[in-house]
Amino acid sequence: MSNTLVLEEASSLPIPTGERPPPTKSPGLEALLAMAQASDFADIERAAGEGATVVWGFIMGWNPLFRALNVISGEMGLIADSIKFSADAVSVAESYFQIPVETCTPVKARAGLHHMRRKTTNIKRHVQFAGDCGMSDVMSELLRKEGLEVYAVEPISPFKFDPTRRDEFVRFYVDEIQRLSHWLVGKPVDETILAAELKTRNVVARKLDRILELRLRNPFHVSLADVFLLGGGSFDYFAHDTNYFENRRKYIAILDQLIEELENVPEADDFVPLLKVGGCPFCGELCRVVDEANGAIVGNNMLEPALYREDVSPVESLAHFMLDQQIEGRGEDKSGGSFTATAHHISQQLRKTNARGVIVTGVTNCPYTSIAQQYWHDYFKKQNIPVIVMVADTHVKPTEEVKMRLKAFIEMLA
Amino acid sequence: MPTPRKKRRTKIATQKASPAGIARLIENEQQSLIDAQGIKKVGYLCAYTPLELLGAAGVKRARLLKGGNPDTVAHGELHTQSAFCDFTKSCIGGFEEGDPLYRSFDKIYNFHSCSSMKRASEAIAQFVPTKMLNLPRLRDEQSSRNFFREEILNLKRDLENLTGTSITDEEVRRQIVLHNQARLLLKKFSELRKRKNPPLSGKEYLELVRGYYYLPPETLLPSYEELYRRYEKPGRAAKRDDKPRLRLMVSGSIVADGDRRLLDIVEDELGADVVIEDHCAGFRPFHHLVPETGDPYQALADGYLDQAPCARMKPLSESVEFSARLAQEYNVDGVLYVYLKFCACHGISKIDFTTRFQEIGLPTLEISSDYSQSDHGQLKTRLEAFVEMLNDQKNIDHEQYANA
Repeated sequence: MSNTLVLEEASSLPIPTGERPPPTKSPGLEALLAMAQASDFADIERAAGEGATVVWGFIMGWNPLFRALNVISGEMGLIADSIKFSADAVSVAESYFQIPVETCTPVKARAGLHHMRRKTTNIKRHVQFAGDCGMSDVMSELLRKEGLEVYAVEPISPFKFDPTRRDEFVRFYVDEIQRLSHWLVGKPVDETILAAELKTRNVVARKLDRILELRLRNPFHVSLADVFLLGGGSFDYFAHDTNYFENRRKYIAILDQLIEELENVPEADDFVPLLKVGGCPFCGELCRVVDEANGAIVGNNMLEPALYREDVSPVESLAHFMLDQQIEGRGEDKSGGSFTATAHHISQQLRKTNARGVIVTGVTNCPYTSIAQQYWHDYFKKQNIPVIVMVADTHVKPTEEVKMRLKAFIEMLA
Repeated sequence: MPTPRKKRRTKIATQKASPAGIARLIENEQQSLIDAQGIKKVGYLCAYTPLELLGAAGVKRARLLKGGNPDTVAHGELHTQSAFCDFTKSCIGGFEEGDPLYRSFDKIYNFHSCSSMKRASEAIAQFVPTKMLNLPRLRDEQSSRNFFREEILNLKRDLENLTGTSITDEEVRRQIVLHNQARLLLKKFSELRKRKNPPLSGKEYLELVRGYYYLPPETLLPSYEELYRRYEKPGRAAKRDDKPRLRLMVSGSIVADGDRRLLDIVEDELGADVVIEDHCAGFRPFHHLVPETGDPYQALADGYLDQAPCARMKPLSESVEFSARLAQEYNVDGVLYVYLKFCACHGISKIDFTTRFQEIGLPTLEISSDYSQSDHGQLKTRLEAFVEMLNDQKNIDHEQYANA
């Protein structure tokens, strides 16, 4: 499936086509890389052509629903291709869609790519979580004229959550899940299959959690870029939307292999533990800069594998999951969450990981991350926690100046 | 709060109703809000906020609508950096720079309209307690309507906690009737602009709308009524030119209280009339009324969701069609599509609006705007060229009609 592209975005973004990440010494990671590289986004297009239910778009945390309905999301492939073809795609977005030039590259590139692919793609439907960032959300409306059937999931947000309203919120999302199921496949989701998907995901989440925990001893054996890869082809790398590289059993076996490796690697010498906060994928090159400077990112507002509840019906479990990620600020704008909640969440990670500093990342020209960056910067500064803000265009290589700033920050903390 | 309202009515009776008079009333009300003791003061951000509930709670209220000042924008940028729309920056900047009105609020309410405003609320919460509420996007879904009713009840409970007094259903119903009277008058004022020679300018209409967002209807209605009686008389025209003036629509992002530079150029310098607006500080929210019967909270939920849609509502085509219908209904010669830089709702969607205007034969000038003052010359040149082109077209049309 689209995992090669996931790999490119996660661990080497934005390297030119054909380039590959440096070889790893970990047999587990080698196996994972091989899984990722064995598949291709063209498979998804082919599957759509052969009658599989494939949609663009995704909903953070609800991938088990898609899997239970036997629906494939092509969004990861689109995102990765939008990086590959960003120059043309951005140009199309600005001319054909007349999207204002000040709009962030990820939104423009995806819009442009949809137009470029309109005649060749077999995927004709798009699902939009309307609580996603405003730019993405409005852009999805433009796709209707490209011949796509666009479906919106109504977002509600708990904001400052009143726990007495949990049942009401859950009921609402349960209705939305059933409405979405009907749109996707014409019937409600089979709860037995969904329960099994959630259970598997929880097994994986516990293993990922263990890897993160072990990684605190030696973060270089599995670098940050590798951590993203560990998410198994998920949109937010480590969270909840994994497709297990389309081979669940093998994927889980590799996680076990990695746990064993990490349990046996020696503790790393002195390094600078850091946290990263921000919705922007941390470019592979910047990951390498952190490693070279003897820093190690040991936590992230998206790098925490949360569990699905198994004590309620599986549909309710998905609803609780959506609500909880909003309350805790996980996934931030992608889940309709709040950036003040994210700051609180990352503070807890600081205590857990003993990180010495915070790297705040953001996408160039993203209004929503710009305000969050400033808030996070001020928030951590008030707590006397060293913080640096790194803003980058996700589709352009980081400049030397950006890399130097990051190195200087880590050296200062060493 | 019956006693203060009576006093206000008495005071108004001595003032001559006019758009300038409305502006004076607003100024007095804002000062009174700043000075008031023993009464809760509430700010709100979006035209989807049910003011009926604020009225029923007996709070003093004002919309966070100020904008157009680059200094305030600069204060907002301390929180947002530059990549943000200037209106949102102004809302935050007002608190940062210590605007006495903004700083006097006990609480801010914000229905989640656009993503920028959602984020702004979190920044504003650093200055004043702020409550965000959900505003559905899928107007046709019953579950969305039901949830919106619950959010309105949530607002009611919060207001009751804030003021320490209960809000009765009767008072909510009374407020719906009062606000409907104001909305209806604003609609009627606007319809007067369908006349060949409109009795009020676009700027004057925005003054009337400004009144709605800052003044309680008890204060506003006597002025509206007196003014309407005057304006509806046949033959009254805002501008007495010999030749017919161009009729324009402004569509797009919010036009803030204080952001009048485009209207100044169009109406005062170029001699055209803005006869209708499709934005949330102009006519758009006054196209529909709130039902006056049945459960008042469901009525508010339905009434506000059924109002002419903001571009954040889904599907976008409903907002586009409304805008196109409005342009035709008001027989405009052209459209100024104005969006604030970094406004997702109106920036990214502009192609759908401008294409639709062109489909119905309306020349459209697209303007990307902010509150800087440095592009006045460029803006004026573009507007001049557009108006000149429309005037030429209009003269050709007149000549063809005369020769037919």
